[in-house]
Amino acid sequence: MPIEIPRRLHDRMVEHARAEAPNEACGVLAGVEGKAVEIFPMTNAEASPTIYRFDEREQLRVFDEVERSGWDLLAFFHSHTHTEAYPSPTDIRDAHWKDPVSGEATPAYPGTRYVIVSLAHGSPDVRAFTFESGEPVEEEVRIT
Amino acid sequence: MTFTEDQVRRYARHILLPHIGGEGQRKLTEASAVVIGAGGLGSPAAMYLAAAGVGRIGLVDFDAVDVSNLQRQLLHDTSDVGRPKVESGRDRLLALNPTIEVETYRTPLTSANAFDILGPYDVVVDGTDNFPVRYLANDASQMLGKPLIYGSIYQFEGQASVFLPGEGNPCYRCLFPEPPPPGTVPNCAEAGVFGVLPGIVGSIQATEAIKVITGAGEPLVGRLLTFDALAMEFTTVKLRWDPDCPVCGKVPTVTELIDYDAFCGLAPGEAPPEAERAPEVPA
Repeated sequence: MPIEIPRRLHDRMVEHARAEAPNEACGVLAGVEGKAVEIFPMTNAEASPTIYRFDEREQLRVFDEVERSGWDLLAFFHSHTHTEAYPSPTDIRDAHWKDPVSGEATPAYPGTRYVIVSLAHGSPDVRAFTFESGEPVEEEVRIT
Repeated sequence: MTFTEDQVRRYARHILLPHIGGEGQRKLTEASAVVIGAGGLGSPAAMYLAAAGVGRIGLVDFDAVDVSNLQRQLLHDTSDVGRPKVESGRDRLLALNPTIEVETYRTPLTSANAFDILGPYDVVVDGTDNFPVRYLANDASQMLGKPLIYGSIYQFEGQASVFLPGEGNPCYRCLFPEPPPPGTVPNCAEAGVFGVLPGIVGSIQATEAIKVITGAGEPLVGRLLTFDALAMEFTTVKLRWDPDCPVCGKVPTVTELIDYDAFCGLAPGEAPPEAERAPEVPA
């Protein structure tokens, strides 16, 4: 399923990524039927150039607002400041929840895309992924 | 890694709480605790730790559920009578929180297995009902350098403390260097116990375990809390490290684990025959 990101939200996402560099930036794109309608730039609680994690209180607040507004968690975005816009092994692991009883790993947020904004080259590169059997599956991003 | 939606919702009230917050909740999620005894004290202790999201919980108990346990041991249901306590306990904990891991040890804790069982956990919770295992848990925790969350009850009175190895902190043997001789303590089955009492003391143990894991507040280190249900009074007395303590003193004389003679008609390392088994009443 392609996702549609209006130019205005795309630009705010890139702006957040640049503001946080060299650390990774992160946040949530809320959407309706595959189209982003709001952006929540968030704090990278790890404050790291190689990993990110939502601050839990902020996460709770954002999830509540998304739910109250009747939106979906369309995508989680984060930036790669020095590498390509492709999921790292850590990104893949963090996108999965391992059931402690069965040991089976399943997507932690089924239906939510993982958008990566790469600042490694001159112009930002924005790509989206979901995961199937632990492997990244690229989804088309339409900037409108 | 970022919490799943279940985690962020399930632990919302901790995440919002001062002194715990997202950071404390993450520590809980990554922590492990072993509960010795799935009885009166172990029930609330293990249930609150599971509900709080302690990532891996061990349950140690050789016994099966008896109908006389149900007056206070809320890990078990009427339908569990006859089942191994660790099995009904695991079912209860996973029903409360299916996102944690529960390991079960259906065996008495002995000098032969204590290091292997307690070793893989961050915190040890003492929910034992007899002196031999209490001394074993204390000695093993000291030797392994693990915090021991102590609790015990007798009829209407209870106690709790935290024995944190090192830094001049006292351990159980600083209070009581040697166990009382067998036969001097009233038979557990005859003594009786007020059903709510282990609920209170076991909940205090869960509180202290969570504080030790998250670093919140001041745990009961170097202090003994006593509770009298009839008077409804809590008192705290200071405990001092004993330089002559046989385990944590300057020159330890107890340097390996000991199986003391048992009370309650139960020899350590063996389960009594079914007909002779006294109903378990945590001491």
